Amino acid sequence: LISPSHLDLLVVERRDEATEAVSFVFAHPNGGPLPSWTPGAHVDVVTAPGLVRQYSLSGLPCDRETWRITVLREASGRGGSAYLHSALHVGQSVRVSLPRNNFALVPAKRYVFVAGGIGITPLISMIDEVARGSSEWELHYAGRTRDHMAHLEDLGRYSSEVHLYPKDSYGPFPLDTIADIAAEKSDTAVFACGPGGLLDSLKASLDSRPSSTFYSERFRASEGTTGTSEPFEIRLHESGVTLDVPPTKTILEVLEDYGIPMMSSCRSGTCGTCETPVLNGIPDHRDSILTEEERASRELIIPCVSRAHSAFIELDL
Amino acid sequence: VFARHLPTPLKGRIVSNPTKSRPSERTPEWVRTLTVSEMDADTDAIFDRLRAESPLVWVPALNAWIATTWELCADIAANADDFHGGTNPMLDRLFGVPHILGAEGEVHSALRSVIDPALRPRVFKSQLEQRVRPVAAAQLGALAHKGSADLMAEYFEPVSVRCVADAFGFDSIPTDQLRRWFHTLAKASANTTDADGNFLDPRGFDEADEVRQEVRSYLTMLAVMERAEPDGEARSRLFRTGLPEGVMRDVEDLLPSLLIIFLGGLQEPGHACGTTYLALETHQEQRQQVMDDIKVLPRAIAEALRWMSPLYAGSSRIAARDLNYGGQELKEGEPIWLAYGSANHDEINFDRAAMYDLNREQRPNLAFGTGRHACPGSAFAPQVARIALEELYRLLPSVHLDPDHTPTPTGWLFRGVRELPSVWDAADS
Repeated sequence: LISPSHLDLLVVERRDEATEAVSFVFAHPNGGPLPSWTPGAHVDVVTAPGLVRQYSLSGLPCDRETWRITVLREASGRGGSAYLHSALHVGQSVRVSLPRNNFALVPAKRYVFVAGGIGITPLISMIDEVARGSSEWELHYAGRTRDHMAHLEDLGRYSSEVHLYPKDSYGPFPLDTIADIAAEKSDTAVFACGPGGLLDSLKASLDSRPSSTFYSERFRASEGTTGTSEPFEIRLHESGVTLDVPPTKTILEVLEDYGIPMMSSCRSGTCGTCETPVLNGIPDHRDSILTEEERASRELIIPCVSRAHSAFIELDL
Repeated sequence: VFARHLPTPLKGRIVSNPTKSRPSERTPEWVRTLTVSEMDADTDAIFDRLRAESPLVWVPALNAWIATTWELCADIAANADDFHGGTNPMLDRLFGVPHILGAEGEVHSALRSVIDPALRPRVFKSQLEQRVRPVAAAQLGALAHKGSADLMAEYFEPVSVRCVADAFGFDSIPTDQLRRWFHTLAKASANTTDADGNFLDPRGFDEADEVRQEVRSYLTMLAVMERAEPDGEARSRLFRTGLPEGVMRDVEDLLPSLLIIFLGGLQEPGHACGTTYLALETHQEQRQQVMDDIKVLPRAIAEALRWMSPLYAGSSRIAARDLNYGGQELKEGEPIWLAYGSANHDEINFDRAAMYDLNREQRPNLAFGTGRHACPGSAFAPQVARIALEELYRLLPSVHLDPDHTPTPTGWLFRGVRELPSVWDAADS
């Protein structure tokens, strides 16, 4: 699962950044510089045996001695993030891949950064880079409450460019208005990171005002996301058949298309009618019916909405 | 450092300075003059406009807020801190309190633990073929020779009422009595309050109170039987779920929430049937797809419930405190209607949302709501609909809407057609 080009690093600092968000600073066990990286990059972190999660580097590239990631504990997840929160402490070793970048800055006269919750993490280094240059920029950053918004301290050195939208005092993120702002001037690049629903909405708003360029990076909240999805395989235990689940189809649809008789009702992850036993693999639970214990057991999946964190998942069908 | 960004983070750029005004003063003129009958008659156009222009708005005709986008409806439904279960003086008077719609916290959990088990797939799955299909087949068998019928009144609703009642263990109540209870409670539910808080008709709950007494007597009889000998099934679930062995739940604790089931629950599978039937009969290619491969029926039902959600805006919440939310100032205690049917047409989530397309990319919809107050029947209702429609198309394959009496969908609170006049070749049977 892990690329051969990995490093075993040491946790040298652990810090509460916000409600439910903790940052970890990694350094080489023998000291010395780490590989270089560019703003927007992420690393793979082995969060538990066999479980790899991607985290944006939330520090600055000019710091060659350490890397920082910031991890949100997902309320309904028992996956990698919860493991890091509960089990990773200063002095421990952690296996980390070399940085990769799917969210790199592009040249523009003006930048509009949009962050939803923990989606602020890749933007810290991008803003640092842009703020050193001559381009105009601004950040629109929403969170559940101000206490839930990580890295406000890091953003404290900027002033009028930063706009905060704690939901409890502000209400929903005004994405339409942000899209208007993005469309005000030409050669504007919009970089957004957050839950799939937010990015979908923002993209829809920007599409109707076609003067800016949209770049985004999604992270997966464990609840309510209906955003993009990676392909994976399902294996059927009884027949040994393997089926591909493309990003545009649900497990339930793939099973139905193949001719497996499946009972389903709401097809929205709320009723539990299509519940199916899991024998192998890690479910990416996106339903709102299973209990915490059932999720943690990894023995059940709601195939009308849920997917897989692992490359394949074996179902008792 | 960040204090200067708060409490108006946008420095006047995005949000205009909130004014200390009555909500209605910030309501656009066209919403201010909107009437309930206009909302009933022209639902799609009005809600399309609300979604685009005023997604959270105070509607004077309703004396309430209404939320119409996906984001707002999903957020408000899931947000237990700021929004409590929706109730109003009419509901509290008609059903009694605490009832399952308005309750929160432990009381709500306890009420859900009584209502939910009967409707859980793990409980009812094995019962479907044994109980639901014979009910549907018998009801249809009695109609088949006629060659025409209002399928809503003569097939979908009776099957629905019978099957939901049976799932709760009320199999000894005749179908006609269940329907009478439903219609009496429905009539009383129109007895809302006027601007001064008085009920429109002071005697408007008299008949419903008699129904309440009948239901109370029936439950008391069940309690006596259950105490003598636990049935280990539906009746035991009703009286004993979540309680220590030997302890039984009081009839008075069950009564308000069961009255809601009798009013709101018994007909719902019927409405899921009716809406799916309407969708398929008005989209012949997709009807043919279902006839060619009956296995796509669950997809057709889920899409119908998205396309024309029967509980279009019948769910509400109460602001738990003064809130600055969605660009509006909500005051503690103000009601917010959640227009799930409108959220299910939000183009942000659904391409060509107004179209019925059982082959569209599947995404969750809000037909059953979400969060702790989500409909407990979300699993059961579509299964009743599936079986009723499987039987209909199997036994009467030539069935279709009567072209001389095509029904028109109406209603913003509950949306759908009230009648489904249909004809078929009596030789089918």
